[in-house]
Amino acid sequence: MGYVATKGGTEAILKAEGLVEYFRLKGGSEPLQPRQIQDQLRLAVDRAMSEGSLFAPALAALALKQSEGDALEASFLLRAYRSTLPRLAYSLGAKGDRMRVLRRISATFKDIPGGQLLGPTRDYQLKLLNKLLLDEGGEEVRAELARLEASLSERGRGRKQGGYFPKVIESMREQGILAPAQPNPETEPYDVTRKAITFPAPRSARLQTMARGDVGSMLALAYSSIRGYGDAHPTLGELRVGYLPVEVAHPLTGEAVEIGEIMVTECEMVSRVTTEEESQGGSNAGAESGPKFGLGYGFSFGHSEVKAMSMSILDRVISAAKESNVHGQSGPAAHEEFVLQHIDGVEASGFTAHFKLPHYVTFQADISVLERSQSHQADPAGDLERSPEKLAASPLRPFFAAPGLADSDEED
Amino acid sequence: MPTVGIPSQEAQILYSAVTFRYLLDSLARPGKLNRLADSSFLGEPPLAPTSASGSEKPVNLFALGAILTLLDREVSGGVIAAGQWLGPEAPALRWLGVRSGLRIVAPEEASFVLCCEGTSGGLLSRLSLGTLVEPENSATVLYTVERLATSGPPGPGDLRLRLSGPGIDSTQTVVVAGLMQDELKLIRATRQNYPLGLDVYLIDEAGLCLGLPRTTRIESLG
Amino acid sequence: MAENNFSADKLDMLLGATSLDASTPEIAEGFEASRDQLYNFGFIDEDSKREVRRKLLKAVALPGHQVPFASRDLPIARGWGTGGLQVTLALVEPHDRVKVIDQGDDDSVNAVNLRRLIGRTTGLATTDDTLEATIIQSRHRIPEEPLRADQILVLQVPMADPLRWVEPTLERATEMHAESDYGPMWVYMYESVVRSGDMNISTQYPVMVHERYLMDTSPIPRYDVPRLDMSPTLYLFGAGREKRVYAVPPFTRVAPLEFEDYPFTTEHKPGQLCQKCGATDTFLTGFYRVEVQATGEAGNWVYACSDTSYCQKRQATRQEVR
Repeated sequence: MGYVATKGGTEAILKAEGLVEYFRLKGGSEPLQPRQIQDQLRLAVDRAMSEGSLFAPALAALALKQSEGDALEASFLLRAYRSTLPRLAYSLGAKGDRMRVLRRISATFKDIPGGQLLGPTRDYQLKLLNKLLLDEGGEEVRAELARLEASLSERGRGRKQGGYFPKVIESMREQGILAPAQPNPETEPYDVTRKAITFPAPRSARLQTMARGDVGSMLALAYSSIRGYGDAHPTLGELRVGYLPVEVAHPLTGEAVEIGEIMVTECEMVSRVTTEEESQGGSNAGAESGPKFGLGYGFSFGHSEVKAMSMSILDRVISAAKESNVHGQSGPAAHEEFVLQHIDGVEASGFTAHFKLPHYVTFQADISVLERSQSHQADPAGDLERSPEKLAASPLRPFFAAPGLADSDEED
Repeated sequence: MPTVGIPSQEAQILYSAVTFRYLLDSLARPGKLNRLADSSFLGEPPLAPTSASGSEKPVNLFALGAILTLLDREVSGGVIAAGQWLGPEAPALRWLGVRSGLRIVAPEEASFVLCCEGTSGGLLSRLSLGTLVEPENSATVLYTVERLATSGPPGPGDLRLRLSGPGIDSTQTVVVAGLMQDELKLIRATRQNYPLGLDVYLIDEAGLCLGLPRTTRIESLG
Repeated sequence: MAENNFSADKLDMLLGATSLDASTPEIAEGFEASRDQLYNFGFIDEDSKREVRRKLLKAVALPGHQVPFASRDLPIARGWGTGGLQVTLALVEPHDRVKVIDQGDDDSVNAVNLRRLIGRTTGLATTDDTLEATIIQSRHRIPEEPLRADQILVLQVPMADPLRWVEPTLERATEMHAESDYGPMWVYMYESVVRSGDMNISTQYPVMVHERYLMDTSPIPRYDVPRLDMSPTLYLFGAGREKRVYAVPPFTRVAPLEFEDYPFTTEHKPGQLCQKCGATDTFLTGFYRVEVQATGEAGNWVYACSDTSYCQKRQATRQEVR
């Protein structure tokens, strides 16, 4: 036990925290049930999980309730919570083709093996506010659900897919137009939450950072690259949304055991690859079996198409830049370090927000330098600041001069 | 005082905190001898071969406790005894492995090395010195020695060292019993190209700890 | 007025409680800090602590060199001291007394908040007396009272790499540090002298540590930079968002970049004075003192020590002398 002296600052903080709660509840409406958020605001929940880097829908719903709907704040709460959890096991690698698909589309070909499945999408809705939603009651909702089920199953009768579809990119590989999957030089995926990322970064670190990234900043960068600040001319190879099984190795037998399913979004973009040889105008006998399309990969927890698509575009643009050795030259989106350093919402918002903290010491120091420049500008010749008397009068310890430009490095 | 049994988590946590502070202080102030906290709650130390062939003796429990503070599943390490790199089935490695989950590797890949009785049998020159971009990826070596002192006459075979560099106000003198002269040469050789180099601790039988980061210049006095 | 907006009276009632009145801090009642048993000692788990500790040891062996560390997510925002906090939490042991300041002030809300977290998760006594503290976590200041060998100062760092003035990419900057390629930084300093008559870096002043690594001193004023050189104290620097720690061991050479004809100077002005305690040799910052209704004194700008606990000590001494 220790005694902590408190002054006015603590009081103000505690009262401010109370005031936040007050603002959340003062409207007098029925307090939200996290279940309602989970069910009816599932896309906000998905975003919080994705950027919070934790698949936990109920907790994400709670975080959204606590943060009054602030997506970044909710993802922050989840990350901080994630940090306290012990790691019981690591899953086996999951493959997208094992997904039980809810939605699956491709822009590359009109017909693809298994067919195009629109799934639950707002893509074709007219964006008109629906005032009928102002007054939804329990009875009507139940009736509506029954009606929807009946109408959907009517059209769906006769299909026997069980939700499994092959990957479009696999058929592209078979056709020889997509570069084969590269053997992975990494034995274990990088974990940026356990080891700080350094540059150049291994691809798993890049993908992990982006999978946790803020959708807004990733969208802006991806958008910039497809508008011309980059060499991105991608085509949507496949976008799929569905339930991905998660497996771990049985602790005794080592066999794969499914422990559950998570809803995820996966996106694969393809675009033309410019090899180094091509970009230098020559052809090289060593270039293997001719030019191919390259792949960009995007992933998100939950249903988040914009996130997965932006990520896949960025992945493709960065890979292309690294392969052809021109990274950064075509625009910021092609610069791996620039992208990865600036798309983390929790870090970006934290640092931007930190300017609210007191900076009066640094500001006073800045004023001191400013005054110095002003007096120099006013009277450069008569500048007395540097008179020997003034320097000698300084109560602080004198310094020895550091080596000037002319000195070469001397090793001991 | 009971010495057998698994220490409570709380005791372990507080021991780690206190021990880390000594290790930090020793490295920040080379030449200052810190007495490490009692580690007998860890139980009986494992045996390891000694230089006198055929015999074994318990590994310094202070050194084991100290290195344990820094080890877990994320790092690699090893133990040198009687100038040999011990295999994973050796009791000392079992002891450390069970308590920390550390990965047992070859000398070139080891981050932490416990080196018994002040000699590495030449293995020191195989340990990682880091790279210019990542000089921090070099090994840390904890030697167990007989006796450390900051004053008093050195006995036969003892080393009297004058230390200078960061952390030291002017110079510091230490007397070391149980570190081989050849070993000292090897240690000095590893720090010739700053920032490359490995960082060293010496821990004696009474639990006194001396830190010798790669920035410390070590001169042998007569 | 919209139905949900507060009336003027209600605003006064609700919001008044949250006002920060900088000029008259009240000594509210103290409370006993007891450790919240829900958390590990020092909040962060042992694996995380161990990783920070390993990196700190290497940082001490490589004065001024930035060592990457995992920097776990904490319940405090990135950019608000998570690096300094992780260092402090990895350091603390039951016998410590911890002081936390921001801009030199113990009562600054962010310092208060960090101190709350440290107190709740360790049960340690905290103090605002620099001389009593064993660990001091600070944002942007080194305390005025000289620090001792039994103390550790932990500084919070926003941007860790001193080369960012000339090289924004870490990949290239890391190579420059590896190769001691600091020429571009000297050119930058030279150019700033030519342009504005002096080096124009005010805080985060670049220094050479142990004649090898260029280091960012964190946003401490130039006033505080000399305290790093050949000091009896260990200085640790934590940048949580940038995920780097670095160290200046005791008795280590820390030389600010300067030229023979443009030596390093501080903000000290001859004749400067703290209007609260009379000190002439401390770092001062200005603040607005509101009107005092009782005496009718008008509000005015005042210069005072930024190190509030030192200033208050001096004020107390002066009163005793009277």
